[in-house]
Amino acid sequence: MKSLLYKFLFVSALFGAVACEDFETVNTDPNNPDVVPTNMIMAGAEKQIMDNVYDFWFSGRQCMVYTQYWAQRNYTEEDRYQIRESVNNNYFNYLYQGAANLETIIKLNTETESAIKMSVYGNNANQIAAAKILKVWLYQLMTDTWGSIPYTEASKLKEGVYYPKYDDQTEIYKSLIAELTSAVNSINEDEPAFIGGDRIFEGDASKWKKFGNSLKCRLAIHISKVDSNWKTYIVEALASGVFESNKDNAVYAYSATAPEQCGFYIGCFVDRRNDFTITRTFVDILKGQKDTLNVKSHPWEGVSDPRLPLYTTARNGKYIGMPYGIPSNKVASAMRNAAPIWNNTNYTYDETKVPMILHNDFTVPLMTYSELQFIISEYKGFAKEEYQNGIRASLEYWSQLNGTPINSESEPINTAQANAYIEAVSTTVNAETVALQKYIDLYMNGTEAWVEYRRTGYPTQLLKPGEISVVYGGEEIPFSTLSDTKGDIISRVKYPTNESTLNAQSFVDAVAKLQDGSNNYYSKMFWDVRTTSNPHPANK
Amino acid sequence: MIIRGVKSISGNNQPLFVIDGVPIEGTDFNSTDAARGAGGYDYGNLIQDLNPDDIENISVLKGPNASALYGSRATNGVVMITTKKGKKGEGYGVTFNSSLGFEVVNKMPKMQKLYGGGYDFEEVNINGKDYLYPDYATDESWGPRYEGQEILSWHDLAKWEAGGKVGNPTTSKWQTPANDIDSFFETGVVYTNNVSVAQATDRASARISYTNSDLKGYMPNSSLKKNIFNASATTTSADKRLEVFTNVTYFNSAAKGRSETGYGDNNVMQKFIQWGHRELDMKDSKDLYLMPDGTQATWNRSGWDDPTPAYSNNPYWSRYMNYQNDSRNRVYGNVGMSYKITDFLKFQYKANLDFFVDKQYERNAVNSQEQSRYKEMSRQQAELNHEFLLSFNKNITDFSFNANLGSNLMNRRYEYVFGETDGGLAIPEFYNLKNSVNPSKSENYLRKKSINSIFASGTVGYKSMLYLDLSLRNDWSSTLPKGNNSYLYPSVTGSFIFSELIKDQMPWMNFGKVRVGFAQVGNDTDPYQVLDTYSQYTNITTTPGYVLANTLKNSNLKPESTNSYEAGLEMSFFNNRLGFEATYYSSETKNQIIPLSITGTSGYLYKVVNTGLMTNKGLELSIHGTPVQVGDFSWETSLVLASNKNQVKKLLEDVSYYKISTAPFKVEIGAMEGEEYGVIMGTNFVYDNKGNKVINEDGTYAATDGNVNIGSIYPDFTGGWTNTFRFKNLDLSVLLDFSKGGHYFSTSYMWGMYSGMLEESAAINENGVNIREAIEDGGGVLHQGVLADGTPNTTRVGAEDFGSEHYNGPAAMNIFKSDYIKLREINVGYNFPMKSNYFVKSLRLAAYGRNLGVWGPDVKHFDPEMAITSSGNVQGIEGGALPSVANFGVNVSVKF
Repeated sequence: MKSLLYKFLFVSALFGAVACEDFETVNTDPNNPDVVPTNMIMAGAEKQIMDNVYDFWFSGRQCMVYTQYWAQRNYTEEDRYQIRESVNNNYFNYLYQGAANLETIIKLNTETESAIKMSVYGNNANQIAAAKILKVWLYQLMTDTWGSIPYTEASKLKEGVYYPKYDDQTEIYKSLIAELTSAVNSINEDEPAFIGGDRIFEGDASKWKKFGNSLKCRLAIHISKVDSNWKTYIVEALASGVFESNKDNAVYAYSATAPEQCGFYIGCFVDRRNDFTITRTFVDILKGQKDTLNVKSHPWEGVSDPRLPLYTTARNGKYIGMPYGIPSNKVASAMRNAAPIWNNTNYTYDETKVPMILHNDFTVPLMTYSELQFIISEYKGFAKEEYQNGIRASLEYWSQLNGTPINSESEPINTAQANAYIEAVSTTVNAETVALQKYIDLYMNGTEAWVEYRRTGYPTQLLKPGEISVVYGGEEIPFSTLSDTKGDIISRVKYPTNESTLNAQSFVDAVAKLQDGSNNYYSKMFWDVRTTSNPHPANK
Repeated sequence: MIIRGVKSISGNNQPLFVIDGVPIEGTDFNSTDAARGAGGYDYGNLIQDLNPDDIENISVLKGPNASALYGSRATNGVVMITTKKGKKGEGYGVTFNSSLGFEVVNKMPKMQKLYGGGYDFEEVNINGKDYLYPDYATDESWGPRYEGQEILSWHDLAKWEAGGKVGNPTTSKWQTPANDIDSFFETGVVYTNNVSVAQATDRASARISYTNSDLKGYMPNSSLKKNIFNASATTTSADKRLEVFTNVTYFNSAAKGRSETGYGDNNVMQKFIQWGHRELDMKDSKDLYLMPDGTQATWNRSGWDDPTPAYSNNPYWSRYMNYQNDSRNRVYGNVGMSYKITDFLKFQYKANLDFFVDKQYERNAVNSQEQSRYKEMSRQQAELNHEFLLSFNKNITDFSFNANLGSNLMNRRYEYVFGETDGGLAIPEFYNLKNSVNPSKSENYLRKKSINSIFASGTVGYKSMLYLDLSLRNDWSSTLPKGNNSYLYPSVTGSFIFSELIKDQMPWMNFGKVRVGFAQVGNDTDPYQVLDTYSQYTNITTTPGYVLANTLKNSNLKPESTNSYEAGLEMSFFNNRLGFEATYYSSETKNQIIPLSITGTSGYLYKVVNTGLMTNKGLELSIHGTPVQVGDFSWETSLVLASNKNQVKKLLEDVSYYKISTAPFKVEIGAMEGEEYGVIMGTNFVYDNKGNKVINEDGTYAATDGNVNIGSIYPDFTGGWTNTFRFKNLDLSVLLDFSKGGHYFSTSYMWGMYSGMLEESAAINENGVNIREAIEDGGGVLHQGVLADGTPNTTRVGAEDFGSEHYNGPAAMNIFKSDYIKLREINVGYNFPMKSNYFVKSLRLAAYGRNLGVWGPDVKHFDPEMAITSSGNVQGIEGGALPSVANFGVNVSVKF
C-alpha cells in the first residue's frame, strides 16, 4: 500500500517535471522588453510628449481656442470654457508620463552601472542635459496651463512617493531656471547627445545648448514683472549661446508615413472630424481689419499679412473666419459655409487644398528663433532691430514650412513683399506691436501665445466675454462663457477631477491656495500682474 | 454570472465552469471599451459554446467545497455540468429534438414625436426654386414642430442626385414618420435540431450527439450558425477493475452582423436614441443607402450640396456595409482511465483539454463616416490539465470513510495575432489586408500560465447521519514571484442529518440537515504582473521609441486568500410536499492583487499591489412545495432568494478609493473603503439641510464640485419564483425573477435628453404648455428646489438648456434603479402517452416564451438587464444598450 502511494507520488511528480516549463520562464512577458537603451526612450518620450500637446484636444480644444486662433464649427462648449473632465484627466496624466520617461533617461545615465551601458548611445552628461532641457520645456508648459503642480515629488513612485505635493509656481519657475543653467553648463559640445532617437536635434549637443539658453530667456521674460533677476538670466543665456537663426529652431517634424503622422492630420483625416477652422478675430488681424463691432483699433490697419494664406486655406477665394465663442445653437450653417473648410470638403487628402497645418508631416514648434528675437526686443526696451529680425525670421520660417523659400519670387511671400510688409508694420515699435507680431508668429504654439496674452494683455483684438462676436439675423451675438472667468479670457485650466480622488490631500491643499479657494478658471498665474488700472504691465 | 457576491476588487469574479471534470474558460474577450459602453463588439462569454441538449445535470457549488476541489480558480464558485452518457434503455436509444423560435424587439425607449431634427430650417435655392432644408448636419432634434411643412429632405436630395440631378428634387412633409425606429428591427427566426444515439451494455456504453442551430437575427443582416458534435464512451474490463472513458465535444460556430455595442460608430441604437433626427423614416433609409456611384446616402449630410456624412452613417449602411463576422472552433473533453486496485482503493488518471481558435473579421466600408478599415483577429488558446487521483472508500462498522489524494498539473497558453489596415482601404469592398492604403499594421501577443497542485480530501460518515469533510490543497502558480508562489489552504465542513435521529418522533419531517463549514482558498493573479517592462510607442525614427508602461509591476507580490464560513439548514416535510434550504455565509478576501489607480503625477497610472480586504455576507433561501396535489393535477412552487452584502473594508494604507473603470462620459465605477464594491462615482445634486435640491441662479440644478457616490451597482437581493402546474400529461411552468437594489448610469438617457430625442425633452409642463415653447409663452421647465440663499427657485429653464443639463449638470440626473420583476419564461408542454410496445418511446411537444415582460421603478426606457453589455467587472454603465428582446418558440422531442 505504502509503496503504491510512493509510486503514485513519484509518477505525478515526474509528469510535473517533464510537463512544465520553469515557472520563471513562463512568467517572463514575451510581449514587451524589460531593458531598453536610452536613445529609444528618448525617441519614445519626444513623440509621446509632442503627440499629447499637439493634437485636437490639448491644443485644439484648449490653448488654440483660448488664444482665439481657432474656433469650433459645430459644438462650441470648449471654446466657451467648458472642459471635458475625461480629457483634462487624461492629458494631465499623459504629460506627467512624458516627464517620467525623461526622468528615466536621466536616472539611467546617472546610476553608475547603467550609465556605463548607456554611454554607447551618447555622452552621459549630454544625455542628461538634453533630457533636462526637454523636461523644463514640458514642465513650463504644464505649470503655465494648470498653475502650481507637483514637481519635486513627481515621478518618484519607485521611491514610494504615492501622493506628490503641489509645488508653488514661484518655486517651480526658480527650479526650472536652475535646471536649465546646470544643464547647459554641463554640455560637452564635442560629443553627441544621442546617437539616433533624437528627432528634435538629431543628437546635436550644441543645438540642445542653444535651445536650453533660449528657453531660459523665455522663462525670464515670463517673470519679468515679478522677479528682479530676470535680466541677469537673459544676460547669462546670451553669453552661453542662444539660437542664431531658423536653423537652430527647436521643432518636431512628423512623418507622412502612417501611423507617425501629425496629431492634427490624424484628428481630421483619420478620425474624420471636421470640427475646427480659423476665427474671425485672427483673420481680421491678419487682413489688417479693425474690429468695428467692438470699436477696437488695429496698429497697422489696411496691411495684409503675407502669412494669411499659409495659416489657412481660403473659401471661394475669400478669407472669412468663424465667429468665436457663441453658443452651439446659435452657430448657423451660413457661418460654417463662409469659413474655410479644412477637410477639403470630403476628407480627400490633397496637399494643395488642405491647409499646411493639417499636413500629415507638419512640423510643430517648441521654440523658434523669431520668438527669441521678440523676447530680446522686449528685453532691450522694445528695440526695432530685433523686432524686425523677428518678423523676417517668422516670414521665412512659415514660408519654408510651406516649401517656398522667401527669397524666391513666388507667392505668397517673396523678398519684395516681405520688405514691404516689415516696413509697413514698423512705424511704431512698442509693447503692443511687439506683442501682436509675436502673437501672429506663435500660431500653432497655443500655450506660449496664451501665456503672452495673460502676461501682457495683448492682443487687445481678442474678444473678451461680453464683446460682440457676430451679428446674425439682425441679432448681436456676444462671446459668452460657460464658466466664470471674471470677464476676461480664461486664466488657467482647472485641476483634473482624478486628482481629487487619487491625490486627495495634495489636491485639497493646492485648491485652498487658489483665488477664492475653489478649483476655478480665473485664478491667475503668479507672473500675471494685470489689474484693471494696469491691464498691460509690459508697457513699462 | 456572480455567485455569492463580488470577491475580487479587480480580478476575475466569474465562477469556474467544469464540464465532466474539464475546467472551461469562461471569460469573454470583449475589449475594455465594450465593457464600459464605449463601443466595440460583444463577442459573448465563451460559455455560450455549451450545448444545452447535451446537458444532463447542472449543479452549482458555492463556498468552501468548490474551492477545495478545484483550487483557486473556483474561488468564485463552480458550475458543475455533467453531460448525458450512454445508458441502458429501451429501444434504439435515439433522441430527436427540433425547435423553431422567434425573437422580437419588445422594448424601446420612449421617444418624442412632436419635433423634428436639427435646429432651424435653412432656405436653399435650386434651379431658381426656394426650398426649406432641415439642419441635417446637426445630429440633434431641437428642430421645428411637425406641422406638415413641405421640406427638402435628405432623401429627396439623394434621389435627385442619384438621378443625375435632372429636373428638380421632390419635397416631403415635415411630420412624425410612418416608419419610426421600431420598424428597423426584424423578426428573428431560429431553427435548432438535435439528434443523439445512446447505447449501453454491461461493459460498455456510448453516446453520440449532433446539434445544428441556425439563427437569423432581429438586426438586419445578422445570423448565427452552430454545429456541435459530442461523443462519449466508456468501457470496462471483464473483471470490472479497469475502466477507460472519454468524452469529447467539438463546437463550431459562425456569426455575422453582431451588433456594435455602446458608444460606437456603427451601433444603430446610439444613432436612434442618443444622436439623431426624430423625423427620419426607416423605409427611406432602407430604400437608399448606397448610391449608384458607390457613395453613401445618409441623412446626416454635411450640407444641402455636400452629401459627406458628418457624424452618422445611414443605419442600413451600418448593418449591410460595416458588418463583422466571426467563427469559432472549439474542442473540449477528457480521456482517462481508472483502475480498482482493491475494493476500496482506486486510481484514476484523466487528461482534460480545452482548445479553441477564434477568428474575428471586422470591416468599415469605403464611404462610411469613419475611415474605411479591415481588421482580422486570431485567438488561440489551449488549456491542458493532467489529473491524478487516488481514492479510498471503505465502510467500517457504522463509519464510512472516503479519502482522496491527488495532483493536478495545469498549463494554459493563449496567443493573439491581428492585422489591421491603416489609412483606409484603396479598393472598395475588397476586404483584405493587402488593400490597405498605408502598410497594414500587425501585432502579436502571447500569454502563458501554469499551476501545479497537490490536494487531499476526506469524508468520515457515521451511521449516514453525521459527516465530516476535510480538505487540504497546495498550489504553486507561475504568476507569483519565486519564493512567494506557493499557497496552502484547508477546509472543514460538518453536517448532521438530525432527521435520522428524530424521524420516529416526528414523522411529518422527512429530512433535516444542518451544516457548518469553514474554508480558506488562496489565489494567484494574471501573468506578467511581477517584472517591469517598456511599451513600444513609435517607429518615426529608425531608432524605435519606447516609453514606460502604464502600470508599475510588483516583484514582492503575495498570494491572495479568502476565508469563508458557512452555516446551512435544509429540511423537508410531509413527504417532500414542503421544504426549504437556508444558508448563511460570510467570507473575507484579503491581500487582493489589484492594479491600483494612482495619481498620474507619479509617472504611472497603476501600481500592482497586495491590498484590500473585502467581505461578503449573505443569506440564500429556497423554499419549495407542492401546495396542491389532487388526482391528476399538481401545483409545485419554488421560491429562491439570495441577498448579499458586500463591503470593501480596506484598500491600502492611505488609499481609500480604487477606480475600476471610467465610463465614456461623466462617471466612473469604483470601490470605496467602507462602502459596497462597485459604486458609481459622479457629480450629484446639491441638497440643503432640509433635503431640498439647490438650484443655480440661472435655474439649473447645482452640482457637487467633485465626484461622490451616486449609486451602488450590485443588487441587495435577487431571486426567482417558479410555478409548475401539471395535469395528466400537460405541464405549464411560469418563472418570474426579480432583483432589488442596484443602479446604473445611462449614457443613452444623458445624450437622448441632450439631443432632444427622448419623450421627456418635449414634455408638457405644469402650465399645460410644451417645454419647448419659449419661456415667455409659458414654456420651459421649473426645477423644484431652493437657491443658495434658501428662497424657492422661480427661474425657468428652456427645453434645450434642460436637455444640456443632463450632460453639464449633475451626473445623478442619469442614474436609474436596476430593480425589476421580470416574467422570464412561460413554458407549456404535453407528453403524449406512449405504450411501452410502441416504437416511439416518448413524444413531447412544448412551447415557450421568454423575457415577456419587465416591471420596475425605472423601466420606462430601458430594461435594466440590458445595461450590462458584457460579463466582466464593468457593469453599471449603460452606453447604447441593444433593445430588449422576447423569444417565442415551439419544440418537439421524440425518443425511440
